[in-house]
This record gives sequence, structure tokens and C-alpha cells, in this order.
Amino acid sequence: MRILLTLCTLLYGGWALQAQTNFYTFTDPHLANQASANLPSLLGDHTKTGEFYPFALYAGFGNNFISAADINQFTSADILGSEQINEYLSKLKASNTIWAGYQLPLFNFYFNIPKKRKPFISFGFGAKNQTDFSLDFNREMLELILRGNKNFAGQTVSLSPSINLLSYNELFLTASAQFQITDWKSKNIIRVKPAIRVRYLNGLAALRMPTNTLEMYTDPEGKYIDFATDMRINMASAVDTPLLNGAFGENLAGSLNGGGQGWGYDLGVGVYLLKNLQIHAALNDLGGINFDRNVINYSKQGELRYDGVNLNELNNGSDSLFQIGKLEEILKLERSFESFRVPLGAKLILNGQYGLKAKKRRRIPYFVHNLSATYVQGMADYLNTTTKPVLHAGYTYSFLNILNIGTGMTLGGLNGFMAGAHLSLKANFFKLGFASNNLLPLISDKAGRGTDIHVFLGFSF
Amino acid sequence: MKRTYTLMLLFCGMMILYSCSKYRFDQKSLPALETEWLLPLAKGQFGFEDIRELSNINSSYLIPAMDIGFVEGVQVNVPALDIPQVGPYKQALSDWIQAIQFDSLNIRLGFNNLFPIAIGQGTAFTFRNSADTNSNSNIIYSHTISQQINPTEQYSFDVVIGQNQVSDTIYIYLEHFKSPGGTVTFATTPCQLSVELKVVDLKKVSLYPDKSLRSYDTIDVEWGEQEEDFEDTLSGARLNIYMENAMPLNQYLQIYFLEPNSSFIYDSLFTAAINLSGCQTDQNGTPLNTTQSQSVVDISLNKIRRIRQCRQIVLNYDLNTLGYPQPLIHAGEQTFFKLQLSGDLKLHLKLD
Repeated sequence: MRILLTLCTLLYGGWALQAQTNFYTFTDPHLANQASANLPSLLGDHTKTGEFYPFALYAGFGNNFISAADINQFTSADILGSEQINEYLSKLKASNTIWAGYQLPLFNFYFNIPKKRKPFISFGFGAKNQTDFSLDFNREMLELILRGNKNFAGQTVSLSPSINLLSYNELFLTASAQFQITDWKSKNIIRVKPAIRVRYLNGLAALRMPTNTLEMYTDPEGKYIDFATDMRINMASAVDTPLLNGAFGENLAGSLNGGGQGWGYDLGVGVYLLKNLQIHAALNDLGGINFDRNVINYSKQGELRYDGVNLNELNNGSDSLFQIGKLEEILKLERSFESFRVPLGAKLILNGQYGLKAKKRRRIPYFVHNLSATYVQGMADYLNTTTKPVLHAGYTYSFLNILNIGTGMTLGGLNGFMAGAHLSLKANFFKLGFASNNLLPLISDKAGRGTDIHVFLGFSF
Repeated sequence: MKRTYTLMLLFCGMMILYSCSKYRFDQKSLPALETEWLLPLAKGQFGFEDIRELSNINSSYLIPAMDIGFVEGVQVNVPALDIPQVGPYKQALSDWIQAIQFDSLNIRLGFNNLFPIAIGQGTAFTFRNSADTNSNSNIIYSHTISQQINPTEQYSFDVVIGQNQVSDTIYIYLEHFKSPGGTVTFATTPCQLSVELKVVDLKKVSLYPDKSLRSYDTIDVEWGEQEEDFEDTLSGARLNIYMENAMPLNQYLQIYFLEPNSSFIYDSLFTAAINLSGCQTDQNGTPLNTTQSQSVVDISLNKIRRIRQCRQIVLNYDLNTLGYPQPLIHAGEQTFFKLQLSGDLKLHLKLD
């Protein structure tokens, strides 16, 4: 573990990571079924017969470019001079992201079908609402806003802001089955557990920018500014999507059926190498949603030059010089209404779990010490996923499999470095818990780039 | 165990109190940003057509009863008339211009019939390059009225005519002047004829050397914003003015700001006025060279404040052909004067 952490620390300098995954569920055995939302092959683990969760909420926010300490510093200054701005800009990354999102399961039900008193097939079904929002912009864009364009004279600057929002309801059905590769009676039993999760998705709202090229060139003498754009914005919502230059439609109540439908898939496999060592892999969030109701698309392609008010248009007489010349034409977007598809943020998750000091309570085996390590690799920089990897290490101590407490550390993510803690209680039929993957903002506002929270209430039987 | 839980709760409470103290932001006000913007402000390309003093000619004429052969103040029996020509009424273009070849020319004519007799259909307003009415080759444009113009009625037309040329003087006639006649008394008030000619699209103009024209145009300005908003926005500026003169005209430019109450000049935009030499052209009016110039105007906050007080600016420009060789200077359709303004602006932006 020490070697692993050292390796992670060495690699950290080269990463600019982001990903919003509820890591600690992988570490706490009480939450195996909830963790199956990300690692389907954990479905049914540490479960006697079944579990039902009427309430569970995961919500978080974060960014990778400004902390609460920075905001405090800015608000206490009278004037942000170039020195302070330079200092702040030097902290920025090439790509800067704000993310906020939540997952609100409406109900989740999981149960096992045993074979020879051992778990064999596990099922689960439920519903949840999920929303993710992300805003990406590069360093140059913020520098342009904070310092003006003079600094970029003679340069082509790529601004390329990207805004993405996806909100949907899902109904899911998940299943896993265990197979042994070696004989049951052999000392080296290896169990393989493939799993799948199928999700019917009802899209509530989407805002997507599949292309977001916006380049600006300022002539060194300021005679003109060239814009090169290749932008496309897809928008849809359950209610009438508002026009950028208009208001909401009138048919509010009659159009709450969702803007689109689609399917999502999570595939996973777990390999139980030893009784206390297991590894899991999952390919999550495959599929997407086709939005075909209340759709508006905006696009702008081409090159434009702004070279000032055209004095040739100045009428003879007393017209004011300063009423002429508008940038409206440059900013005018083409509008269309064809359907579009929003993919989910696909990602690969690899997880290893190691248990020490095996015990059993009420026929359910557990480990007093639980260690886990997780690696997340997203397939796109989009919503709650990223192409850059994230590494998480966690530990849980179990008091009689009743009270589990633990901690975890994440390298990467929007918050850069996170350290969190969790607590879950399993008493008779009841299960409840509270956790956060990042409690560092409680200690220092310099770490205050974001946090997340997970609370749940469930029943086990 | 109870003691452990109590200690844990106590620890959590202390952590929350500690973290709350970390997140008390100073709410007195948000800071301001000092930003620098390099922006194109204005541009323009002008030709001969845009020099109103040279390309726009307005004239009005009085046509007394004598011009159609009748005396005023006595009752006369006017027979039916068909007079070959009434006029000419001469319109000199400008003492600068020897001749203009144009691709399009806008003619606006207004006629107020104050004769006591009607003017019959078939009468034509004819514009000629010379006084000769026996030839059709010198006709620039002829407009035949299609309906009778009764006494006190007004008549007008507005037409753009294509390729032709005019010399330094235009001769305007009322040709085939028709009237049904009648027993009338001509008053002492003559008929009124007003003519406006505007070169819309120039092909070539021939100018005389050693001519000069100085013009003062007063323009009303509305600055739009409240003073305090402006003070929060612009803290300094540098204007860069780029000019390219491809016209055979020497140019002088200064902009004055008038005091709001007295209308006296109390400031000027340029410390030294812009002086730009004209270019050389060939016989076809094609520029052989261009004259380029750049002026930089630093505008301090105090100067901006003074400028913003004014409600009128005076655009003072001088055009001349001084120093050009005799006998004529030619300016064709390829001549132009190009102006580009860019601003190096220091903006003080409040985030409140």
C-alpha cells in the first residue's frame, strides 16, 4: 500500500484529473449493492437475502481552478491589479472545469437467489433521477475576461467554452451470476461473476455542445478582430425549451413527458481470487438518450471579421456616430429543430478489494479490515467523466459488521486531492449511513474546491 | 462506547464550527478589474461621391411669365401653346469641376406651377450639356410629363440615370411647352423649379488645380451613459488613426469639441491637425501612388471627462488641389480615402 501511495504521489504532478464517482461505496462492504451502480459485479455481495433502499442521495460539486481561499482573497481586495491577476492566472490549468451533479434513487431493491446455500444469482431493480452539469473553459478564456484582449494581440486564441447538462430518470434492471472456474472443493477456488445492468432512460433536459471551436485573432494594431467559429449547441427539456431570445412556451403542463428516451448499459465482471481478495472491472454508462421533443439546436460555422463601426453607413445629417455598428450579426446563431443524441459519459472502472481478519456474523462473512483500490478511466471529457485517470484508495474498519467506519483518499478529480470519511450502521433490518469523499474543506479553505455527500436509509433482510 | 460516541460528536461539532469560520467571505464589495482592450472602433472608405460639396449640386430657379412670352399684371388671352423651348436655366456644377463622367447620376426635380394656366402633357424637362437644342447628342436626360399640371399644382420626379457625362454647366429646358391657354392674368409670382443632382457612382472627374474648400460640419452627439457609470468604466484610452489617401486631394482634418452652453470651441481631438497629401493620378484618373499616415491620440481621463461634457462636435476638414500641375487633375473610380480607427482602451470594470 505504501508503495502504491508513493507511486501515486509521484505520478500526481503529471495529472490534471477529474471524475465524480462515489468511491467510498467500493470500500464499505455494507454498500456492496449500492456500489453495483458503478461496479455491477458487486451486486449481491455481503447480502443475506435482499435489501431495499427507499432513500439514498449522492450529490456533489467541484472545480479545478478556484478555491474558497482564492475567492476570499479576491473579495477582500479593492482592485484586482495585473499582479494579482497574473498570480491567479498562473494557478490555472489548461482546461478548467466546474462540475455539479446529484443522483437520487427513488427506490432500489436487490435480492439473491442462492444455490446450495451460496449466492448464485443476484437481481436488482429500481429507479433514480440523475443530473450532471459541467462547464469547461480554457485558461485563455478567463485571461481574456480578466485582462482584456490586448495581451493576445497578434495571436490566435482558442476560447472554446463547453457547457454540458444532462438530467434524466432511469428504470434499471441488474443481474449477476457466479461461476466457479476450479472445483468447489479445491483449496484455490476462483469464482467469476459477470454482471449487467440495463437502464431505460427518460431524458428530462439536455444541453450539449458537440463542437465548441471559437478562435479569436486580434490584429496587432487593433484594426480588426477575426473570429473563427464551429459551434453547435443542442438543447432539449421536458417543458418547452426556452429560446435564447425568447421566453418559455405556454404549453408547460402538457409537455412534462420528457424530451427523449434511450437505453444505458453497464457491464461488469468480478473475479474472486481468494476468499479475501477480489478484483472487479466495469464498463459503465454505455448508450445514450435520443432527444426528439422540445428540441432547439443552435449553430454557428464560419469566419467573421469585426473591424469597427462602418462610417459609410453614417447617414448625412445629425445621426449620432455612436448608435451605428452592432456586433449582433457576429453573435447571431442559426437555429434548427432536429433531434439529437446525448451519449452517457462512458468510463472504465477497475477495483481491487482485500480483506483481513475474517469473521462471520449471522451467517454473513465479513472482514474486520477492508482495503480497496480503484482506478477510473473515462472515455470522454464530458459531464461526470474524463479521459484522465483517477486513483482512489480506501480503508474500512468493521465493528461486528454493525458499524463500519473508514476513510479514503483520492488523487485527481476536480478537487485535485481529496480525503474523505464514511460511516454506516447496520442494525437488525436497518441500514443507514453518511459519507463524503472530500472532507478537506472542513480543515482548510485552500482545499475548498468542492465536496460531495452521500446519505442513505435502507432495509436489509 | 458511549464515551467514544460523545467524543466523536464533540469532535465533529468543533470541526464544523472551525470550518464555518473559514468560509466567512468579506461581503463589503467585490473588487474591480483593470483590463486592457485593443478594439477596432470605426472604419470607412470614401470616394468623390462622398464629398457632398463636390458631388451634390442643388439649385433653384424662378420662371417668370416673360419666359413664355406674356407680361404680368394684365389680363391676356392666352391661346393654346406649344413652345419649342423655355430656358435655358443654367446649372454650374462647381468651380472645381471641368467635367464628370458618371456611371449613375441621381436627378431630383421639383416644379411648382404658379402660372394661371395649366401646363399640358407632353411638356418635357430636358437636361443638356450645351445650349444647343437642335441636337439630341447633348441630352443628359429628358423627362416628359404624362399628365397636365394645373395652376398651383406641384410636380416632381426622382430618377437615377446611367452612364453619361456632364460638363461644367448643365442647361435645363422646358421643351415642347404645352398649354390649353385661356383668358388669365399672370401674377408677379413666377413658377419655381428646383433641381438636385448627385453623383451616385463616379467614373471619372476632371478637377482644376489650385482650388480649396474648407468645411465645418457640426454633429450632435449623445454619449448615452450616466457620468458615474462611465467613470467606472473607462480610465484611459489611446486612439490609433490609420489613413490612406488615394485621391488627388490634399486633406486636412481636425475635430473640435464645443462647450455645452456657449458653443465655443474648448478642446480639440488632435494636438496637431492631420495633414495628408493627395496622390498622383494618370489621365484615366487611376492612382499612381497612395499616401499613408498614422496618428496616435492619447486621451487621458481628464480629457475624456471634458469631451463627454460636450453635446456637439465640429468636424473641420479642408480639401484642396494646391500644388497640382495645370491644367487638370483626373480622379477615377479607383480613387479612395480609407480611414481606420482602433482604440487601446483601459477599462475599469466593477464586479458589483
